Amino acid sequence: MSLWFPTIHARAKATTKASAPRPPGHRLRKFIVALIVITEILTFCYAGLSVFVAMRVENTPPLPITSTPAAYGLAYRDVTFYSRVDHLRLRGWFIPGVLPDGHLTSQRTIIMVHGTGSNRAAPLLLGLGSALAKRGFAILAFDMRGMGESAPAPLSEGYFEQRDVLGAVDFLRSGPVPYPELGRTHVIAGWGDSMGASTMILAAVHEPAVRAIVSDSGFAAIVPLLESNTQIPGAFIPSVLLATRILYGIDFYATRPVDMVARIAPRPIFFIQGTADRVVPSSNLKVLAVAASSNPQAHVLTWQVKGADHIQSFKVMGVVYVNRVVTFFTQALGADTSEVRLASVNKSQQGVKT
Amino acid sequence: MTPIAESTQSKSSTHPEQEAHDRYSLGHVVHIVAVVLTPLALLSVTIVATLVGIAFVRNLTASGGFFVEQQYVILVAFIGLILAAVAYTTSIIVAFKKINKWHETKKTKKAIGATWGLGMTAIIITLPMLLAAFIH
Repeated sequence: MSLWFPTIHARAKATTKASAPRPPGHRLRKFIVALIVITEILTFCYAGLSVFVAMRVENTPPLPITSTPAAYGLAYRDVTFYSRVDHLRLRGWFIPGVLPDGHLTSQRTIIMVHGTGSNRAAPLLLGLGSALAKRGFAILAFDMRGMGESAPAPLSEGYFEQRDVLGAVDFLRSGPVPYPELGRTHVIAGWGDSMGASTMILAAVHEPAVRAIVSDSGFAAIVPLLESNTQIPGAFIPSVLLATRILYGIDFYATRPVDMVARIAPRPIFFIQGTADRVVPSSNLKVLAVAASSNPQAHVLTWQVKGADHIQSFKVMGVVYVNRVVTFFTQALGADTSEVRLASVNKSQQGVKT
Repeated sequence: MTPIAESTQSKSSTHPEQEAHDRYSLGHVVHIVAVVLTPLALLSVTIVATLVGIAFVRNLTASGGFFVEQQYVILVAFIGLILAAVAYTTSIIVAFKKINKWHETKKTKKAIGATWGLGMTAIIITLPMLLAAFIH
């Protein structure tokens, strides 16, 4: 009660202890000072910690490239190109497709985009990429910014990475041709897993040259995932997101493929996800598919792989996965009709960087 | 509640001149608001200056690559945070000195009003943190 009636209390004290009179409101002042000190320490520690956590989250060390398409007996060439808008250097491989008669082709190229904390040498990317190449699709697999051998950059879960995909499209359309003898790519499609899938959707919205998309385990929006999957305490999520916005210019709240996916129509899109996904809940597939289908011209295909965990559908389904993806891309892009073909690479040359 | 208690007390125990001093007037309210808002205003100005500084440094160092840019941006952010803390603390100290003076000159109600006001600023600066904690 003395806090609410500080002066009465102080005066009462002053009369009883005449030797040590205290000014009116003494207790109130003590209380307010303590309150200010505590709240100030808490607030500035909270802000400082948020900046620190944002810095740690954004600095994911890149994984080294540990394998190449040569391990799968495929010819390939190293390529370097630049992201659209901010011109960051990106490194990748161009793997020509192999036709049934053994000839190489680059007529139909699939841009393959990996997920967070990965690179172009990830077993899924290389495994699926090589399977698709052997079915006649050329592959452009590259490291997104901040990963593999590409230029260092903060991790933005698709917000900036979509520029990398757009840079890949620019490279295929107007950059140096990796295999001049095969000519330039005629049609482009995209495949992405996890963050790569969502990034592919975001990029394809801005780039009609991407004629078809396979989205494996993509998320509908990143913030709900960050809130549920991260080790950061919940009370720090909004401040860390704000700190990343201020420090790096990344707006995670805007990374919402679900809001944009309908604009991909009439281009076809194939959503794949495991039912046992522990990273991106499998409900994301439904949310994305419903959003994509809201466009009357939409061509949406979905496949929920029973029992598959995050980005494990290819591992679980193997050749069935490859067949379904090949069928989808063939229907969307048409058959390979290239006339200019490089002579089949001898078996002795296969697996060697050409 | 405090002003009622205070005014009851002061009516029974103070001289008419002091009573006049102690009564809330528009001038008093303006003084209290000024004392209370100064720390918040200083804090806001420092934060805005830090944000502008970060944006400026980010543009300035963008060509140097991510690591260079990040180094400078984080440096500016932490300097800004420290400056904000110093500015807020200093302005709070100055405010309390003013409140003490009001106490000495028997402007008790004004002093107590300002003290409560400063308490409110403490709540205001923790509000974002409290909201984040309660929402999650």
